[in-house]
Amino acid sequence: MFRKILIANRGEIALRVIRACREMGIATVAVYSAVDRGAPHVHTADEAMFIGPPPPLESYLNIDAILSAAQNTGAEAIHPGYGFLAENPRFARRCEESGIAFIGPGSRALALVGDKVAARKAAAGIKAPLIPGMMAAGRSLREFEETVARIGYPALVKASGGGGGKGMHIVRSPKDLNSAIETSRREARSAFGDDSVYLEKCLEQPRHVEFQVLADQHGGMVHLFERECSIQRRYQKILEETPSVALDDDLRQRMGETAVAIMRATDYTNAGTVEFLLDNDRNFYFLEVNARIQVEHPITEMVLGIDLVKQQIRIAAGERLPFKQKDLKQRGHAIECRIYAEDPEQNFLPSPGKILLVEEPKGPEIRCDSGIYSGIEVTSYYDPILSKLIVRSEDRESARRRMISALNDYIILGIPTTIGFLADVVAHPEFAAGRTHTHFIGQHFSNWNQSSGTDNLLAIALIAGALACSQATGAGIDGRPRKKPTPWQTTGKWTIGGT
Amino acid sequence: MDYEFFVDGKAHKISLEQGEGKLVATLNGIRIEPDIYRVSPRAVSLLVDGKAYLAYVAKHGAKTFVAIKSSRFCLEEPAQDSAAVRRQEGAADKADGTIKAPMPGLVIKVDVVEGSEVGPGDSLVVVEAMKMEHEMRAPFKATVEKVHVKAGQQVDTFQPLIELKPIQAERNQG
Repeated sequence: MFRKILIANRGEIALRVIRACREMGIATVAVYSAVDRGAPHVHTADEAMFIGPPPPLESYLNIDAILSAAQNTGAEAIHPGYGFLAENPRFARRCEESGIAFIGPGSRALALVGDKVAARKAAAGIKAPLIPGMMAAGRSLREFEETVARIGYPALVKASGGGGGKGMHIVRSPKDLNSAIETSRREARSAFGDDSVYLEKCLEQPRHVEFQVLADQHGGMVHLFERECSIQRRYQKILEETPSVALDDDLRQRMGETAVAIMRATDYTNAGTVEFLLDNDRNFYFLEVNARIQVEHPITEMVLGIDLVKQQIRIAAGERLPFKQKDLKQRGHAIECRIYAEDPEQNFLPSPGKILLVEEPKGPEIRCDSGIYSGIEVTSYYDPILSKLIVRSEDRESARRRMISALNDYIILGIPTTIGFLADVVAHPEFAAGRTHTHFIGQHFSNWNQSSGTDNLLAIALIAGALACSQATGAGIDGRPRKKPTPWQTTGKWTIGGT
Repeated sequence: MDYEFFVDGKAHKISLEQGEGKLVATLNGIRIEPDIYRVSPRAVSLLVDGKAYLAYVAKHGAKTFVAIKSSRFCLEEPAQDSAAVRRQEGAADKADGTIKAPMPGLVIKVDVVEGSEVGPGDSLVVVEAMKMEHEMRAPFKATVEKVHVKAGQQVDTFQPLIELKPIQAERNQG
């Protein structure tokens, strides 16, 4: 087993990996950019190395700086987390060449599946059903025009090396095609350092259902069932759950076997996810392979009782999978909500700024994977994910209610976040009924605003705010120079029911 | 002591007085006598007619953020340089044709030059934050009077990016 691992990432996923390492007795090295000196991964790891200025290309995507940090600290392996260099075959190869284990698939499998177009070809090779579209990255505008003439509008322009919805744009008419391609290329270059893009058909109201796969280096491979991730905005998942209400045992088994077959065809090792779209007639189509640990991996951990990050590390160290397919069973229902620094009342505009207060929810089977604390400055340089709230319960309805309760208890003050929005999504009757699809947010939540509820909460908020201001100015609540302390200092005096 | 806050652009007046061993709050003429217990420096428990509320409060400059149950409020003091005033200005300026940055970020593309004519929906400038691009589009038919920024420049919220001179409006006035 490795003695020291460098985590080439930041935020909640860096902390997630650090925790797994701690429990395994492995020392950890964090890397950080100039704006991340105060980020929690820096002070949670055993060592921390500065790797460059804030822009990702100069820090978290800077392969030379990260490799020399690993060499200088004697790290034997690198965990890339998700995003940044996680699916960059050049980085995996450079690690291999430097004698450092890359905790992920080998560079060859990564090149194959990390490139969405190559993955489509591999899936076609085992006759997995595919969404109509390009089988190679498009170069000229004419290639895109010809494909779209064949498959029709609406179509999606996607980054070959992409993930997380970055560089993905819908095209509804010919006049938008060129600008969508251009925007996708720019976003893809900035986010992944690769500007190749392709085009495929955009299905109407499909569900997004993906299968988690684990593969060791000795031919052992299992799937860990599905995650449904239909609730998205800007083609980016914001809520995931498992099991999916849309699958029965037969469909689940067929999709799982297809997922494993696709991964076998690419000689895949380590953790990966095979994504499918499922249409209303329960036909499934291969979408892409995510060759990394995914943001939503905790819901699989919650229903299977398996730590996926530890499995990743063990697989990279050459260990065999400790279980077979028949050993795996889903237990209960898990939901994850992604908490973003975005303003849901303003079309999910990023909302960087200072977080003044964080209070996390508590209770049975409530998990909060967080990268923030009271007082942290959220910058505009990186992905807006702040944390993930995950709950598990016996069944979907009780998990849903547990999530609403936990979201209501989750306090983040100082910047707008998606918490209130997510609480309304989880409480929505269509979500409760399991009628979810990838256009759910657009259909039911296009102009969302926070409701103040049936209670007059605004009045209570104004009283609490005025009390805080009376404390801040040092004036008594009647405005006279303070002779007696304010209620904030002598709460006992105001207490009737408090003792 | 009287306080005034803007919430979503709407003004609210509230006064707090010390009654006989009680806090008396008067809000829009309505008298409320909450029982107050300070749970922590950032949290206060309020009992109003037997109903329990736990309010988390954090102050930052002229803004006071409050969370109660599932609701989050941003109370803004009506100071001259407060974001509330700037937001009102921002709304007014939009009609005048000043396109301002909606968030802090990086200008990655400027699609127009001074003197260009643009139609409604035409892209003017693209600002990126947190890896997502935000395209600022022309709200109406206009001539580009001033371009304040260039690609590669960092901008702050409400920083003017482009000034447009409406073409339609000019004709109406003439």
